[in-house]
Amino acid sequence: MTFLERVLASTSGPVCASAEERFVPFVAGELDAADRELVAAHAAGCPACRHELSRVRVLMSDLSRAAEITPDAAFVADVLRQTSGVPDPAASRWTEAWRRFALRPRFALEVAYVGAVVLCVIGTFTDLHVRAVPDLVRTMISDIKETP
Amino acid sequence: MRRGNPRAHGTRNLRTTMEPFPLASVSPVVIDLDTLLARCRRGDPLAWEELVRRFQGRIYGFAVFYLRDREEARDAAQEIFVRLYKHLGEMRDGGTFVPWLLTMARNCCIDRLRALGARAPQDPIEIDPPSMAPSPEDAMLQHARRTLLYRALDTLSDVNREIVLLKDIHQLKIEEIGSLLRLPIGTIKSRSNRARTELAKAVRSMAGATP
Repeated sequence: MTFLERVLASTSGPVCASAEERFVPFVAGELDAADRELVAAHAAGCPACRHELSRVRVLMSDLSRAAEITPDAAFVADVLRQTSGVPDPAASRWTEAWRRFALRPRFALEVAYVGAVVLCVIGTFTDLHVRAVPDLVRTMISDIKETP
Repeated sequence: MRRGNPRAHGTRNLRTTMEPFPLASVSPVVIDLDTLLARCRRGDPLAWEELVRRFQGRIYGFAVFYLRDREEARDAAQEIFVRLYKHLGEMRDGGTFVPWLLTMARNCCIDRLRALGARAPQDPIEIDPPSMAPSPEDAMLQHARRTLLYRALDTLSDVNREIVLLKDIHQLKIEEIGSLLRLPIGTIKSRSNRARTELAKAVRSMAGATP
């Protein structure tokens, strides 16, 4: 037993468990500078923890590489076949935007308002008067009758 | 004047034109995700194919992780890509695309699990040995380590396993995981540390138990 181990045994007890809790954040680079120094110093003097630290390093590396599992070779072709019948996303974007616009509760009121304004403008700035319409129709019918 | 056989000449020309395009001469430029997404939004089918190719392993892996059944996972992954295609117009920029895609993938997997109900598979994740390893020994070693990792992940609670999946496997940020799982950031941080330490212990004990 080394001098350090004897001192630890008679004071705080073994510190490996405390170091072990910090191995994962140590490898992930999430510890602050002081904690990083403490873990590194402990691992430098403790072969068991050094071994465990290298094991954690391998685990973290394996985790980051476990994101992908390659599907079979026909997967991409199957997806492309399934999406070939789906409407063009650029066109469907406009359709969707128009649908959302038209489904608003105020839409009917807005259409009625715009329609009324348009009719007023037509009635104000043209010679066509609503009361004159029956006369116009009568004139048109008599013109047609007179035509040989 | 000596003339060559015009038929033979024609055949040679045909052969020349029918030779496959030398793909090896094309420098492998990886298109950045923003450009790829912009092209997909414009409706470029080749960009869409490249996007599927680029994310197929990730989405399939994600689905395998949730569904534990490779056939179910394959169907789910296809459904995720079809959903993605339908929502191409809503696609964000490259920075927020992956969390958005994984949120959609998670919702799809949860829908499938609900539909499966009592039939939900609980088998351990099975994977094939990697085909790109430098040697067969490396392939076996990688396969053994990955199988051990999946078995160790199975010992974690559902929430902790999901946090490890999102944070350490798919490298999402704490804030993104928080909004995805609807958990406070502090909870994610503390659970993440605990889950990884538990995982390391499980791997150590399993590796020790493996002959």
